[in-house]
Amino acid sequence: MELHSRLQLGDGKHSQVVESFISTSHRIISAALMVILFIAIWELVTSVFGISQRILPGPIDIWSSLVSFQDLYITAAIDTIDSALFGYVLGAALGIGFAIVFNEWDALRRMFMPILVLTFVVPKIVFAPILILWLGAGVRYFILVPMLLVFFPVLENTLTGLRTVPDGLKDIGELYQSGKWFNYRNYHLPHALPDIFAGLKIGATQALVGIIVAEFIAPEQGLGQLMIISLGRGDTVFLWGSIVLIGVIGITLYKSVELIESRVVFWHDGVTNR
Amino acid sequence: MKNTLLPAVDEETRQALNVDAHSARIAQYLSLFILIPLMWEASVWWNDTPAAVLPAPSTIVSAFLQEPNHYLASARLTVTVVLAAFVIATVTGFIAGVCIYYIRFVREYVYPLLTAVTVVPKVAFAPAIIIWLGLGMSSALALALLIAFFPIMVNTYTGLQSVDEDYVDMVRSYNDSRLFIFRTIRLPAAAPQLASGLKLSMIYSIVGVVVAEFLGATDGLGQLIIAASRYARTVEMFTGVVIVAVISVVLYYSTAFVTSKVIYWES
Repeated sequence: MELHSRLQLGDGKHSQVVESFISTSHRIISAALMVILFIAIWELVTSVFGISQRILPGPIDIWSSLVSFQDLYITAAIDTIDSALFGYVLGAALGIGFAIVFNEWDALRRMFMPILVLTFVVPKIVFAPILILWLGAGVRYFILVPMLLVFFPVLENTLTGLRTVPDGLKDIGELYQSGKWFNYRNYHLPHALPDIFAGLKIGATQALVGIIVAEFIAPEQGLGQLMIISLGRGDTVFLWGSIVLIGVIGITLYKSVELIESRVVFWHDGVTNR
Repeated sequence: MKNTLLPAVDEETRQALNVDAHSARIAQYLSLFILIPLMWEASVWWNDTPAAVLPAPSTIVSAFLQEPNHYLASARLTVTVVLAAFVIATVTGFIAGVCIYYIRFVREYVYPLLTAVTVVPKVAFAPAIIIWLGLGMSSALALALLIAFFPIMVNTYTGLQSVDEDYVDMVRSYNDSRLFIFRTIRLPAAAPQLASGLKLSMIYSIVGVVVAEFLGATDGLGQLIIAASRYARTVEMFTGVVIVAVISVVLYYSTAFVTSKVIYWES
């Protein structure tokens, strides 16, 4: 629908759309070829040099392990994804919510900002053992660790977006005397959306980091547990099967957020690098 | 993770106190360092929280003072590995970023793969690294390096890309050598991006080392924290966490300070 309407904008735009389409497909094809090449080299290296499976299993070994133990992998992966997504959604909602509150009540922001700035710098993952102590290695712990890692980047980026709303937009709100929440919905939040998504994308990777490390230090569930058990037994194939799954989950999660971004913030090129 | 570090004190307070913005900011942060531990201390006393749940700051400080060498030895080891990983990641990441910028094949075919890897949580490789290198500081170094490498690589490359080509054309009319253009135009233009990459990867190095130590190490702060939590030595665990927090703040702000002095034209 959107592509269709853009195609009718005139010749210049038309060729631009076609060109970007061609370069996108070229990019995808070359990326796919590189992945295949990479896997082929990996397989060749492991089989030609006779690297033992304990050191580095080849892609075929990993694949057959993934297929023959798929129930084991899927159960573990679902637990991991479950906690990561729960933590992600909670952390993102709280981050955006707190950013709005801080933006509304400036005194509150001034009071808390210095603490938050210091917290941005401290790796939140060191707090995981404290959470185990307080909550026990249960459901709450596995949700809270990713939540903690998502909350801060989302809060930080949302606040940046809200605080850089140009005065012109604020003036429009004043001029029409539209209500505060109307202004939020129509001026402030849309202006902050690119920044919010920048935070959400950082959060997408951080959520997975959080749940994996949480499962490493309290191996009670998920792919982290599977990896710790196979590390203890020296069963490297399971380790690499889990790494592959985590990679796939990570890329899928990130790309999904990116896809939502391109739909929601269609007017913006995205703030990836600033 | 660019952030408006040390947000300014508001203008009225600053003028009322009649101090310059810098010292006002420092005063605000110092008062914070005093105020938060005081409130923490007070709440622990007020609620009579047992030290096994949340030790008061005074308990933590006295635990540290009782056996400072126990903590300092671990901290020294962790910091050494963090700094080593940071330096190696900086050098290799910078070289990789420059290669991506200048070599077309790398840029078009290898870089997309590498950007996909940046999205994968590198901590997942920790057990594999332990299988390769054993339960020691070399594993911690390798994991930290793996995590800290990417922000430097990506930021070097995007920084080099952000150069205004008009300047390059101008300098080219004086001296056409690539190295000269790199030194005079491209590198200074990339420096701010590179600086934010450096700050990020300093934190990432800490994450890498601490997580590797969580998983299996014979020494270091991460191991201290995990061992303490396993044997329910809560005070020791909190002391370890506080030390890690202090180290990250110090290392981050040192990096920020040094880079802001080197890139004097940016602030």
